[in-house]
Amino acid sequence: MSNVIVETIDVTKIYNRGKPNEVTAVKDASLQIDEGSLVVLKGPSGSGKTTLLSMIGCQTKPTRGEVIILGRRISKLPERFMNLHKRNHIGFIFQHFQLIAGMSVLDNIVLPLIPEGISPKERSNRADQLLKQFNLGHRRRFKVSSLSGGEQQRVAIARALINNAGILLADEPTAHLDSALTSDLLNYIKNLKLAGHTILITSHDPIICQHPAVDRVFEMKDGRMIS
Amino acid sequence: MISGSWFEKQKNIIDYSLQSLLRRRSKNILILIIFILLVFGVSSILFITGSLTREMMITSNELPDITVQRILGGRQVNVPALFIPEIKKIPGVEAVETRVWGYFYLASLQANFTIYGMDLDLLEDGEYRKVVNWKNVPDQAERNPDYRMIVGQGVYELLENIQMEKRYLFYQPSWEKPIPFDIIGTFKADTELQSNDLMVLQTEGARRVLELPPDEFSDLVVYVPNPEEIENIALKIRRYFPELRTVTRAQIQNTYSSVFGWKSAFVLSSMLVAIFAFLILIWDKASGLSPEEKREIGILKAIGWDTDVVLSVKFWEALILSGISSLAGILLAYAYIYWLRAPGLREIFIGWSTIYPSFRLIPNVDPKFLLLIVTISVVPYLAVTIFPAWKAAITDPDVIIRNI
Amino acid sequence: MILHPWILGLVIGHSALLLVFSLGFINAWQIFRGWDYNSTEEKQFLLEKKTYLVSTVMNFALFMQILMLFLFEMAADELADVLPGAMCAVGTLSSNRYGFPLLDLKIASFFVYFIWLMFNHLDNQIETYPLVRRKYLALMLMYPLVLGETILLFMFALNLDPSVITSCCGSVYNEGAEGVGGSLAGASATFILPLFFSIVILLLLNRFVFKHWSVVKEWFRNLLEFPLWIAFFISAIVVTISFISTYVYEMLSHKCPFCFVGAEYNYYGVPLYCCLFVATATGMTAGLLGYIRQPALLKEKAGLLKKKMDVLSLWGMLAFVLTGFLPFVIYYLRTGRLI
Repeated sequence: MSNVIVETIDVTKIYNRGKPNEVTAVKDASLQIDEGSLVVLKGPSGSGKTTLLSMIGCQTKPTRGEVIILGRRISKLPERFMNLHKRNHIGFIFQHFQLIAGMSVLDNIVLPLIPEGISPKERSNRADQLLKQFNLGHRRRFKVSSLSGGEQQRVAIARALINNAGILLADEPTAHLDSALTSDLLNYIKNLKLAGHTILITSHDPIICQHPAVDRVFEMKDGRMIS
Repeated sequence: MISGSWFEKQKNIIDYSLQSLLRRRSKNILILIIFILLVFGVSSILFITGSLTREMMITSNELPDITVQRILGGRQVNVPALFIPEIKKIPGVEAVETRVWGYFYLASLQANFTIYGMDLDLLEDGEYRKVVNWKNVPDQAERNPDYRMIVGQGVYELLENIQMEKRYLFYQPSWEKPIPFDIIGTFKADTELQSNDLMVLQTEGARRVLELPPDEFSDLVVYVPNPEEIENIALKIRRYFPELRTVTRAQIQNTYSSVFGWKSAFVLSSMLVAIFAFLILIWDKASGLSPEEKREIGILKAIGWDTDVVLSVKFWEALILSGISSLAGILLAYAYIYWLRAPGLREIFIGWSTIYPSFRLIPNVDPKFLLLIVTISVVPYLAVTIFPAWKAAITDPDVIIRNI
Repeated sequence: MILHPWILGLVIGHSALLLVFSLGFINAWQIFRGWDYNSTEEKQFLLEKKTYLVSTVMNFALFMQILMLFLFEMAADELADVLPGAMCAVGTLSSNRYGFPLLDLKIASFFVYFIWLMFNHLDNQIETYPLVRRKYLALMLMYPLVLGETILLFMFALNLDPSVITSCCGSVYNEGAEGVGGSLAGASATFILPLFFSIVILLLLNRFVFKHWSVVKEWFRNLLEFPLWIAFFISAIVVTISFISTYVYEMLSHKCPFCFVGAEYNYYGVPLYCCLFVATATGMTAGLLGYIRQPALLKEKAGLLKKKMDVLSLWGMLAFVLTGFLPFVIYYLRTGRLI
């Protein structure tokens, strides 16, 4: 009997409410995700999957509805409480990696630990484990701008894992990767799932949607869930 | 995730802020330079004012309690000896002494000098012997003891150019012949403020040069042991003898203080415009976030940094930038005033004159000044960056998720 | 006199404070009017963001007040050189009628800002921000303090006249003198010392003993603490002037509370006043925190914060007493008698 770790109830997101350029990105989306499962959110671009993911990832608050993570209603929480929850439980991998160009690989990976008051030595230790796991040890001190796309992707994943988050969210992770790197990535994700992480991916790539490790696929269109 | 202590958190934030500043070197360099220049300006003024005031206070403590001059037709004239016993009678007056001094224009150097007459034997024998670098005068026996003098170092160097057989000639067109003087010593460097155009002549010689009649003096000096009575006695002197004018030590000190204060205020206020413009520049720069910066803050917010923490980073950036600039500005000002001896600024405060080449301002920096400078520089900078920093820190993580 | 460097420093510092506080005031007003915790409108999100601005403003304001207190004392000291008759800060402050009121207002402001910041910190620990409306209302009510201070400062600076003779501390804090200074100095040690120590003992009793006596109700204990700390501060100042200063200067007639802050007395006043201010500020905060009854979560968090404040205030008080009586002890041990 697995427990639901992420749940959304009739979540709606309206941007620019009341203004002429008002747009409803997500409407009445409900889903449940079990602990330890690998779930894909599928749909064409503009379907609202990124917005839904960002609401689950505590990046933005829903206009209506509830987001419940590990039993906690996070939608109404003020920012500092929501952030605490986010830091402790969620790791986010962004579509365009979103690394800080002028900083080294190591510094980018340990970024989430800085406001936690973790000492530089401790940060280094934790990072080194991940660097080893993702074969980035030799790139430790390099500026991220000098890395290849695949390497940057792995740095982004490492950063998402540095705080031992149980839930991983990835937005179109394979969008900028060739097929070889895509299968590498899927391997990593499979291993993470085996290690016990709960993973939610948005993608319109059929390779991902049809991967055997995927437990469930939700489909979205025009802001609504259709399956 | 186990959290560290508050101190570790602050250390991390400060470290990040430093890195962040270094990453955006080019943008910050301009601000750094202007800031340093402004602090340099303000500090220089404060240092020079402080030093001059301090030096003035030290030397003016030796001033007499009351100086008495005689004014006729709006001009200062000689004081006849008959005033002396009258003033002595005033209760509270301990002693009245006489002074022989005046200005003399040396045509050969085209400059005015201050002549002061005293008995040089007192200097040679007394406790003030060490104030002077004594010189050997050849054939001392033949020279006239009335025509001896001691001068300041600067004057000595100037006079060396016009000496005639190692003697120095005083001359006025109305005299029959010039009076030759021997320099028997120079003053040591400690109180250059006063001794740089000073010539101390043997009293009789001074009287001759200044054309002072036998029973008259340049001015009188009154000693009053009880400081509370000084103003009173000065008032009485003026009342009893309407042609006499009094100047107390306190008045002199206040005047100097005011003049220095006025001059520094003048220069400072002209800098205010520059400071104001600088602040507007800062506001403008800080308000506009480059897309790079916006993205960076978006990333930080997206990975879980609180608005608080981002604000802290911005604050530390501002503090480090302004702190370092202030420090640099203060150090530069110190070097400018005390090593280079303030070319340019010195003239404004001390006066234009070619007679004061070897001025030495004594370094005397009160730690209080540093607090004042910090208040004038760092505080407005921080104040101006609060709102722009906040605007930056509230960037939604959404911006990096929705845009590229 | 307004362009004198020290005055300029004070004016600039205060202008920065006023400007920033005004910013805080405007935003506090917006938050107070529009706050709706349950709303998911953009407007509410913006208000939430504005709370950070106001917090930053108040942190800056407190920092500025502390800085300005130091600066004000130093400026008064420096200006004494230009004002005839003044030999230390007291002379400058008494040269016109705005000097001492300005100082008093500054000290009061310091305490008020500190307390506000502590309550702000408390409020931020609870998701529902239970004190939000009240604290921003309080902030708006504090604005007149800042305005008052700025006006007093300008009046003070504009009325500084180097041609008017002012008194020095010897005549202000002279037992024979009229006015507050005279009464402060005249308060004999035999009267004020027992009073001061009574207050200290009462505070200690209230903290440690009364809670075991069922006769003294909890609400009474909590009620007592805040005014006790105010009394502590005032009596401490009187003790400083009438007793401590005597043994620092080793002179019966020199009772100035400012002279010993400077270098000639090894900056003795700095730790003394730091301890006093810290003790009073944390003590007053602890007292006020005790007034919080509901909601339950707020009361709980308030209790935790109160514990920290209790500890700080106690140590501060102890440090003040030790530092204050050190000169007396030294003098007595050295000479075997009292002044």
